[in-house]
Amino acid sequence: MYIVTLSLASCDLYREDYTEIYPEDYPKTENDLKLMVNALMYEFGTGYWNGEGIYGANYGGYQVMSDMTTDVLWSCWGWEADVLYYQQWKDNSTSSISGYFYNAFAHYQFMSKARNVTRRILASEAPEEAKIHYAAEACALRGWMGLYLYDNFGPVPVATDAQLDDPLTFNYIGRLTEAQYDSVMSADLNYAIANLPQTAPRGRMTKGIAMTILLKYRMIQGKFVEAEQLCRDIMDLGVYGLQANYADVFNINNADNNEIILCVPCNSSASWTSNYMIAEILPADMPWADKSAGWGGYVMPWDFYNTFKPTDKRLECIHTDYVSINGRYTDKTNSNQLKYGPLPLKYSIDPNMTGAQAGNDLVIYRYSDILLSLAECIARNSGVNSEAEGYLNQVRRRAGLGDIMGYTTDDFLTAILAERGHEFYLEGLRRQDLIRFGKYADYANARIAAANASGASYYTVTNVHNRYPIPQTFIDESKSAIQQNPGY
Amino acid sequence: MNRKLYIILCTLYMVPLSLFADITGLVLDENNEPVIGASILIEGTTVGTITDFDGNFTIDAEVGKTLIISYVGYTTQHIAAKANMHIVLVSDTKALDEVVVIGYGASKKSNISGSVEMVKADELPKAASASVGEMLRGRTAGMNIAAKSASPGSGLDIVIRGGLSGQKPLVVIDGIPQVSSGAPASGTGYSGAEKDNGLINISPDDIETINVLKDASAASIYGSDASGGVILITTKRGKQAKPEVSYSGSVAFQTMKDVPEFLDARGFMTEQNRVFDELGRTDEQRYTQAQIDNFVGKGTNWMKQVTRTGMVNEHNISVNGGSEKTKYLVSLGIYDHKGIAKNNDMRRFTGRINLDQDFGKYVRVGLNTSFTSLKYNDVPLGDARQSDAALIYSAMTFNPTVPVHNADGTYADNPDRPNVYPNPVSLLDITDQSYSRDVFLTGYMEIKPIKDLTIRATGGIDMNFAGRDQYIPTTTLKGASYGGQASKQTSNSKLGIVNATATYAHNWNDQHELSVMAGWEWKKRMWDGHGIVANNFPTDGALMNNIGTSESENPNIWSSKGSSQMASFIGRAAYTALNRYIVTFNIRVDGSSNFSPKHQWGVFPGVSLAWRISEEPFLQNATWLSDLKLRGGYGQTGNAGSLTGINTIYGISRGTYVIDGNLVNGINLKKLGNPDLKWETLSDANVALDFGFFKGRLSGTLEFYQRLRTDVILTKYLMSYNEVNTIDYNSKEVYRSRGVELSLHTVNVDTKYFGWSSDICFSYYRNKTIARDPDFVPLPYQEWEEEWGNVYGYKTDGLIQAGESYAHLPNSQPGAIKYLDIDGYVYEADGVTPKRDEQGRYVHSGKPDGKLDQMDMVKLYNTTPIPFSFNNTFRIWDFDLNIYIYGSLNGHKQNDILYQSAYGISDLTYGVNALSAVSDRWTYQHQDGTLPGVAEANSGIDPSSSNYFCKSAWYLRLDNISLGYNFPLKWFKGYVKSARIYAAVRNVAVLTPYKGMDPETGNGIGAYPNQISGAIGLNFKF
Repeated sequence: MYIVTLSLASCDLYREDYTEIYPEDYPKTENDLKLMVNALMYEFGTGYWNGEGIYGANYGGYQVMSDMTTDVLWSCWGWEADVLYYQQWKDNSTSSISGYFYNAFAHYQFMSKARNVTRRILASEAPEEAKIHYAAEACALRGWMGLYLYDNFGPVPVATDAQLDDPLTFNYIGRLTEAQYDSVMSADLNYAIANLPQTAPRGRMTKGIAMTILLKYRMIQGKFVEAEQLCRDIMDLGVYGLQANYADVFNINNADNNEIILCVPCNSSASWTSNYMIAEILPADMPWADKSAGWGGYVMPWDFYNTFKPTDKRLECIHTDYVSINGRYTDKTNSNQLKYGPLPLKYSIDPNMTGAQAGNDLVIYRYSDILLSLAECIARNSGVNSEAEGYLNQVRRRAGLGDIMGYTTDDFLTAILAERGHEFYLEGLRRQDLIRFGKYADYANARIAAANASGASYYTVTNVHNRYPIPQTFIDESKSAIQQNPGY
Repeated sequence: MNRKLYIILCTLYMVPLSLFADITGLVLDENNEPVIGASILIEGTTVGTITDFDGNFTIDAEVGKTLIISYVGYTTQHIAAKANMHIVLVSDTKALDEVVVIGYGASKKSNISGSVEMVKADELPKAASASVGEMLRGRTAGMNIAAKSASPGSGLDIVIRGGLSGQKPLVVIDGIPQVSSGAPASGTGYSGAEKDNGLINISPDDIETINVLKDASAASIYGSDASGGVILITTKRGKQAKPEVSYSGSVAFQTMKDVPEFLDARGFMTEQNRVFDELGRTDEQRYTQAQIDNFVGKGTNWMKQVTRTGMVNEHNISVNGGSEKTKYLVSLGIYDHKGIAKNNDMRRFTGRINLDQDFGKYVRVGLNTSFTSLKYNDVPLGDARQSDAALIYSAMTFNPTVPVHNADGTYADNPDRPNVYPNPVSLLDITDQSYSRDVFLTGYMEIKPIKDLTIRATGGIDMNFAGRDQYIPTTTLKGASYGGQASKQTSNSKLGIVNATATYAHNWNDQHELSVMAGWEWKKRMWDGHGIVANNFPTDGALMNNIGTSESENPNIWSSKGSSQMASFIGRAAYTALNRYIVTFNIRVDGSSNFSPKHQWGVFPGVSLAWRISEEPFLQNATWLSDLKLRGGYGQTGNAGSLTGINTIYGISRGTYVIDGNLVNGINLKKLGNPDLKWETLSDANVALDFGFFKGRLSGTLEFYQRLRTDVILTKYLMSYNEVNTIDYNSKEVYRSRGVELSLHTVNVDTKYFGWSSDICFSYYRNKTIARDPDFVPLPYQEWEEEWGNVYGYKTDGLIQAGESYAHLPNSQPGAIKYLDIDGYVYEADGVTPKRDEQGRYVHSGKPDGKLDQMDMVKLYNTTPIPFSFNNTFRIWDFDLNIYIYGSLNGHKQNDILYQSAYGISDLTYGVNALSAVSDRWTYQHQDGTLPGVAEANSGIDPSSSNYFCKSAWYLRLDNISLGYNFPLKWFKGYVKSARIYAAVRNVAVLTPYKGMDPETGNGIGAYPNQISGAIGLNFKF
């Protein structure tokens, strides 16, 4: 017994688990840094249904939710689609779509994650060059999420490094002021712009992406002088251009086209990295890929469709009728879906689409937005001129439309808004466009008035809706340090 | 004196003729009643006989040869043969002094002071039961076992004393803990029922006894592994005798017992039309009255299509024997179960060799080895609906108007909503095979260097290799959408153990008995596994066996491996004075690699005292009292099961994003470690009284206990902005279990031709949360101190009738459930903010407020079971009869199938069948309907948050009726030692007010139907 006891005293007890990695072993190499940044990208994914990724194709996804609160997108499924389409979120607790607000706001945690990853990268023993590169990527991603949060809610709380280092202490932190938030966004994105490469494989961050994110932020802020400069800087990169055909931008065989600045790359082999935007729209009986299956929900409302010129080439991507797989001619007279509107099937057929899973990259920001933003900024900053007209007409010509010349600045801006609607449907830009032009609530009230005329009882809305309500859970958690957006 | 002489003369007289003579005799019991069937054997031979109805026997024996006279329950006597023997058998008081296994040793039952239950496996009816766990249902007070499903080899919930720790009991077989095992999940959309992964690995036929350490004063010897209690299994061993061959076998047939009645084709069509009417969608009706009237037959009975008569075949054979030095037991067993669902099979092979070998006087070496192979063919089970629906739910609800196959041989689809619901019969095409192979190797060496000292070293390993193969062919809807889906998974686990104990035991003139044990143990657990799920196969033909032909770009693949170690010191001292004052002290010190460096060693002590009152001199003359013992104990065990939150860890996630079209991995912070974390502690106090009256005619145990669980590990939510916003910590919550257990054994009748004895087990316990973290805010309906098993929800008062409307139910039309608005908030001065009390809980106004919200929820009932069992054994001539009833005297359950049928009534329009009972739903034409109408689905309230579909579900199951006949041994002329044939009916009936499926196994909407089994069996020894 004595011997046994002695041997125990000198015997260490080990625990092994090969699925765990301990902080003393990680991160060390350049590859470690890359993996860390890859993990951050998870929250920009497409295929999660509970809001873990912000670009899902369900109602909570950024593009769908943004567009569905405007005139460009709707769904024949009613209920939550109607709540969005008629902007019927009265307060933050009772609405059936409050879960989407919750999921969206919860991503404010990403600001902490990305900050910690950046610091961890810079403190690692990896080569200096790699550290700077991946820190810049993490900063760009932080800027991207910062934009998403600002777009939806305005400034959100952002923890300081000291607060992040002490997770066990409960700090009740409020929202940043506009100026504080600006300095967070500027710092991240300028670091990213300074240190990222001009080109990179699809999915990785580039200089142009960081610039575009900053541009979108400046546009929401109404800082059009800075925005104009950013547009010019992006053009000066010389990386981007317009595709000859509108539909080519969304063609799966042309995924590397240089019109796309930022995309969320998709891969249909995994359920969580697939593009579901097609399935959400595609009717179950509409011929598509061999093994595809449609859910038949989303539509472009007829009212919006009718604002297109019939000669607009962009209508090629919008189906008003089809012959079903059973040979039945289907249009708005005999389809419960087409009754609500035509099908904005912008993304091309992916021949390998299996079930609802397609591999088309989700287009987030592209060069024609830069052109139209530059035209808009010039008009806002110094009045319309031929340079501004030129940028707008580049986009119009591709759509097979005639040039716009000699408009007043106001008319020019109105034309820009209309053009943006026709150019970017299903891409989630419409909401901020309408807000920037002061039309978000007005357009909703027009839809509400029309619906109420035929028996609905929706309440009218105001500019309060330009920002979503902050979920009460987070306000309560912060002991009311987080202030609700005014009007809610 | 004269008599003696006579015998001698007699004997002398007969000697010249023969050395043998017919010896006659009479065997009586203490009450001078003849003993029938007592066995008389000439020592050293196989020649024997038994007594007749008058207790008489005749045997050909040489005078002076030793006769062995034995009878169950009586002390065996060795008497020299003589003429006209008169033998009085004495009750075996040693029955009270059985040896009880207590962990790292054994003790006389009379010296036990902790709470230890013992069950002899041979006393359990075995027909049609694979696992000893299943047989133990209800058998011991304080151990509640419920089957999770009625499928072959189903998992069991084994809960010792309320299951306060949330851990499963530790199963120790011949001193070696059993490794946790079981086939891995398929990783696809389909899986079979949860399996019994513990006790099923041991053949019930190999088990001698099962001892259950219920309280911590006894279980603390197993320290941080013992918070769920300990089940000690001792297997049979060889005896010093000639080889004895035992066979036991049975065949059972099973038929489905609880199948809810669903609408037949005509009823389905009629109800579907009516539902369209009720929804105001008459124009969408699919059937004309003529079509309904002219429908031929009842449509497809899908349940019949997917089920069959089940069969259980079970055969065990064992040989045991040995010499003075060598003893052995070898056994083989097969258990083959064809379930009542088609293609649902289970097969088990077991083999065992137990050896004991003495080397001289001081050393004994032994070996226990067993091998178990379990194979399952599973069918998809579960509660999923729509496209994920599994076999049983789908068979209950698939459209009854369509045939199984289309004219072209393909599976028929539901025409009312194509491509959504799987054809139930098509699901039988799924291949789902799982296996588990368990190898158990242990050896021991026992040295007795000096008198009273025993040193014993044990080493062993339990290895479990498990796996699952699955293929979902393209003939199923799901398989078609994947182009065929295959899964291959394996998971292995091992437990290696070495321990050494030294025990010193001495008895000083029966005045002082002392036993001291000290020991050391080292244990390592290891696990590893890997798996793949892939889609898109060129053909279904290869099933999952040529997985490389998959065209999936990203098959789901994984592997893992890990291990943990524990080293322990163990000690026990037991002292008995004057046969009546007993004290036992246990201690275990565990050091585990799972513990944080700050808390590396855990100490788990236990102490118990007992006073055998019946041994006191002043009670020596109380003949009515055969045994009386008062016991009390206190002890601690640990719960380290959830101690995974010590380390800060990063984890790799597969495919976090797509770069350039390809999935890439990512690494992120997964868990924030808490180095202060320590094991949970369970502290038990136990008081008990063991009693026996009237020479054991009435005996039993009454126990009271309290268990506290402290340092409960909970997950704390940190501020939501943190990178990882949860951390595990030892909370201030305290859980308490209090209970009482009563077991009674009575010998009701005990005469020559008829005997009747009964066992009653009764347990009552309630678990309660008695302390909370200071910042805990109870929900409006929740008490600060809260009983476990409470179910909260809305109260209801029938259905809303025509013309009625309620402000708190704005979306409820007539026919919807009338949920009651009984309470509301009190508001602060601003009139908006609900008022909270000092605990942070919302203040109740006590008045209806026109809103249905959580303020209206109340405690509806408590579901804590009250386990009860009643066992009766009869002896009638050579027949034996057993009647066993078990159940729970408390229970409440939602009738899930009725709920799904009624709440989802509008699914009839999709061609989803419903219970026949739905025709009694509320409609304007049938306003006295008792089930909610189509309006309920629009109420915005889920009826499962109310008591509407909940019913009392106490039950008593008549689990076993078996009748056996013991063949008179004289028929076999001594070649057979015992022979018994029996017939048994298992799960004969269930008495319960609950109207859904089986109250024990009928959980959810896709439960495997329970069965009634009829068995015949044969046991014999020669």
